[in-house]
Amino acid sequence: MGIILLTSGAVVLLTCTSFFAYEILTFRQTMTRNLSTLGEVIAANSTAALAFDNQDDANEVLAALQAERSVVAASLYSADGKLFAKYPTTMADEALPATPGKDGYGFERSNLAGFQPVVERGKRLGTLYLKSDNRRMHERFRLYAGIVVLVVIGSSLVAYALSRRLQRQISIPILDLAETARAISERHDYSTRAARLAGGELGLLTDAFNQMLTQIQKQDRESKQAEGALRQSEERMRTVLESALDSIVAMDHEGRIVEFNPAAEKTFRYQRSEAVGQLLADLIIPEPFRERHQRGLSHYLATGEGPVLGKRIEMTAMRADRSEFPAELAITRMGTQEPPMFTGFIRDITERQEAEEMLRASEERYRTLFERNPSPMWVYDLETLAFLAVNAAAVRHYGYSRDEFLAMTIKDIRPAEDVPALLDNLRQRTKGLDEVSQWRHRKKDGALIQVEITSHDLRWLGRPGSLVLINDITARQRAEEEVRQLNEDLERRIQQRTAQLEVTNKELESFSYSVSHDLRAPLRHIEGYVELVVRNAGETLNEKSRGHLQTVSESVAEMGQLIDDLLDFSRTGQVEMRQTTIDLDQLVGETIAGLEREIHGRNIVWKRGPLPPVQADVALVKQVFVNLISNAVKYTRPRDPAEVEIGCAREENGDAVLFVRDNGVGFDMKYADKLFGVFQRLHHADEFEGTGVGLANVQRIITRHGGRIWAEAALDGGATFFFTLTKSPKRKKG
Amino acid sequence: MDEPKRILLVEDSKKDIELALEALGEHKLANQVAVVRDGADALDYLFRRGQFADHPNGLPVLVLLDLKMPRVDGLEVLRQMKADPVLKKIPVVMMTSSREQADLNLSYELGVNSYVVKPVKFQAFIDAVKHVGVYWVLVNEAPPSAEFGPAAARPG
Repeated sequence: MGIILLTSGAVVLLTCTSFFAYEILTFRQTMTRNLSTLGEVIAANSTAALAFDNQDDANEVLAALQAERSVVAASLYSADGKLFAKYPTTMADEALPATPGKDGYGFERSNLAGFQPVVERGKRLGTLYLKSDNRRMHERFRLYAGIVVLVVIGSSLVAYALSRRLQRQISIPILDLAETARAISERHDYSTRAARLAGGELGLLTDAFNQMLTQIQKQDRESKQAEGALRQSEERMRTVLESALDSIVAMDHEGRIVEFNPAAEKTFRYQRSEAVGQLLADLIIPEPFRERHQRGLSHYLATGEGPVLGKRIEMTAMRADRSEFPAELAITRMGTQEPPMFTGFIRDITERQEAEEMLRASEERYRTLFERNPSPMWVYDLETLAFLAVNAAAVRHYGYSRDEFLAMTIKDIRPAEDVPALLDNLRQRTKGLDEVSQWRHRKKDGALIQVEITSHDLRWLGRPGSLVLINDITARQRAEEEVRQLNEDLERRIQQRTAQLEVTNKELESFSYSVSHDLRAPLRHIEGYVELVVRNAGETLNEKSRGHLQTVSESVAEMGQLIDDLLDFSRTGQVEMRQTTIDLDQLVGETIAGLEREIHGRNIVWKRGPLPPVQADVALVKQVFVNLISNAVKYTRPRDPAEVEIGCAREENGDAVLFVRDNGVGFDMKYADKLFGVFQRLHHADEFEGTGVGLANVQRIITRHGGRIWAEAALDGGATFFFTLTKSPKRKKG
Repeated sequence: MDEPKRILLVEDSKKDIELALEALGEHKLANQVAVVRDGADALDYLFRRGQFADHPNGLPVLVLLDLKMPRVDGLEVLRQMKADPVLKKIPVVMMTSSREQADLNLSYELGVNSYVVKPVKFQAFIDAVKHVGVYWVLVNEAPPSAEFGPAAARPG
């Protein structure tokens, strides 16, 4: 743009300068011509004055120059060259040429001056001098200069505007194109496009450029894609090789290893670097198979037939340490290139073979579990209900052969009336209900059996099935039914007995109530009246009669005692027990103290062992000790000293075995079974008083506490009464 | 016999009545005893109704009550007495052959003042009668209202 401006500026300047020079030239010529014309006119007019030597006329003629303002001085010289007249007349002579110069006009400094001959009819009369100043010319020049400046400025502006427009239309698209090209070459970004900023040739150029870029980009992309695909393919290949669990070994047509993946390294225990280049056969095929391998390879190379190719074969492979293992091998040819390359996929199947063996053994075991299970078992199809498998026990138990079973459904072994319930149950099962259930099955011989069934859903050879375990509970149910009936019977009998017992108890209660009132009243009356007789008539009776009345009185007292004892005994069975922890040592002490009257005057050696606390009704246990100890005291009456021992013999099952022993008259053990019977006595009443209720009472109390009582004795050898009471879990205090 | 009887003996057995009077006689109390033969009569006597509507005796200061009697038994008499605001202040001694725990419990629940089991021995019976009779009649100060009729007992 600068260049454009400079160029156009120079052109304008040059043009203006030329024009200016030309103008000056023509202007000077015009001025010279004008002045010379004026000179000729003045000269012609002054001829007369010269000729007549009339200075005044000459000055007058010259004064006419006033009309021409550019003429600043004029003078007229006579033919002899003397100053004749001057204009303006006031001008000093020295400012004028002293003598006329050469004819003609010329510029002297800033003025135009010249000499004009004054001629009259071929005779030179004098010379006219004219001097005009250049003021007009300078004005003219200034004007021109102004114009030039304006023109230069104007043309520069125009040039600038034009160049801007041009630049926009031409330079910018081209620069843009250049920038685009640079960017592309620097960044290799072929997707960049040049903007089409102009029409015409430039537009076409941009289009062509962009087209070229498109082409380049397309090629670039394709080449990159191809490169990426190749790299990806290689990476995939590498990943497959490296991560494959199977050994992958590639070999060329000579049988030399070209690829050996990490799995192969691990399996065969060779490094890849050791393996590559080796003959496959030498490396991993045991000696006996090598030849066959080579033969196969040669055969394929010769004929293009490979029986092994693309198939899975089992073979024996060899590790670096020459140990062998079973392997599975698949060989494929790689691509179609010639000479051919092969890839072998080799898998160590030692574990698989072991697993297969274990699976087979396990399958065998479980089959045995099913087949030899002592309970009948079968599997049936949940949809068709057909038997799918039955075990030996089922065949044995039901009487159907295996084939007969497999031709039936589970409906066929049930009574027809049970089938709807079965189908209903099967519908329920699909909702997840599966419990042990009871069914009736029919054997081949028609016998109905009651079975308990446990089932479990499973897949059986691809079918939805159910494994069923059958438990024949016919015998058990029969037994249970019998037990139930027996129990019912027993229950009924117990109820009857209980009712009878309740009635008896009631009767007994009212009986003892009557006894206590009604039996005692007559006794009281007898006693009362005997006493009244003795009081009122005692004096009048003889000794014998008084003795008889005394006997009546004693018998009444005895009868009263019998009644009281009997009532005590009957109440012992009825009174409610309140069990507490009893300190037996204290209780025995109190008992002995309470027998003061019986002990009085006796020589008795007391032996008391430590007694454990027991859990019992304290009033009832007190009765036990009162009875047993008073018995001991009573039956040792003939002894001096008497010995009474109270102690704890042992403990068994949480019970304390307590005893009361004496060295008294004892009893014959053959009557021991009568000892605890009511009113049973082993001694005569006149020998040892008593009603025969005490021990019966003791036994009843001990029995009510869940204990036992028994006696050991010998006639005249003392007696020991043993009884058990529940030991208290609490230790007695102190 | 004009003076009010201080003891009411309720007893169905003639023999027991005779023996009881004998025993009370030992302590010079026999002539202070009014005797009725069963619970129904006893209630009539105490509430002054029926044949006893206008008997001259005031209320007794002690009632000796047999338990087992025809018609109305001793427990029922006791119950009605203790339910009455005036009669409930009269001490009642239950005299019975029975040692039945149930009878004893019920008597005390009903508010009996003493419970005596008639002993078979006559002497023991005399002692027992002495004990209750002398204690309640001669020693114990009876409540003032018991000296008069139920009406007089009412204040105001």
